[in-house]
Amino acid sequence: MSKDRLSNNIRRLRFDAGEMTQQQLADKVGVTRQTIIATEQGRYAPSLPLAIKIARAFGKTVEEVFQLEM
Amino acid sequence: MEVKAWKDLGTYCYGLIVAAISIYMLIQKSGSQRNFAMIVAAIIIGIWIPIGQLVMKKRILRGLDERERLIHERAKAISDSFLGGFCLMGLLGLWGWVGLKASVPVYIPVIIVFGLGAIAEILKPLLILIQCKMERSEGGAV
Repeated sequence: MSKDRLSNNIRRLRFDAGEMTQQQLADKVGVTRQTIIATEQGRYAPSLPLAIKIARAFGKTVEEVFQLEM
Repeated sequence: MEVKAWKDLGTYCYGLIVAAISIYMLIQKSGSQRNFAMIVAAIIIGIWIPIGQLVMKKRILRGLDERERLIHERAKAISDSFLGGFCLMGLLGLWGWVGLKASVPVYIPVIIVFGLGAIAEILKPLLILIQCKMERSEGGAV
């Protein structure tokens, strides 16, 4: 069974959104900065509610922020 | 969460040392007669553990986000498994070691269980710190 890999472009979206810091994004979605860092670097797969909150913070859909590589 | 884990680690290590010394002195000074203070303490601890777990769990988890909650639950699961496994190993091993029909002073199995319980509590913050360190080393510079 192959391992699915979740990637994202949160870092690029942060910079596109007026150089939003990790802390600002964390405050917006209600998590710690460490969680945003881990998510950005692909070391943590966020829950569906958190993924939706992150997408909404950038005014994007979940699929535009997160990609599943199978 | 990491700062709290370091604080907890220090507190539990200190508590373990104080408890170990206290128990040693208590055993040295006590005779074989009934100890009512110990019976009362046992009842209080026995009631506090399940209630305390529920109360404290809500309080601890309230301040954590989903990732931290996952780290915390993972650490708890491993330390609980350690406690269960090593208690079985310790008690059954002791039983095998002394002989199935032999007897040991009653404080020995008590010390085994409490000692492993204390180690399991120390393991929890340690496992949290290890998980955070592994996360950082996997990801590289922030």
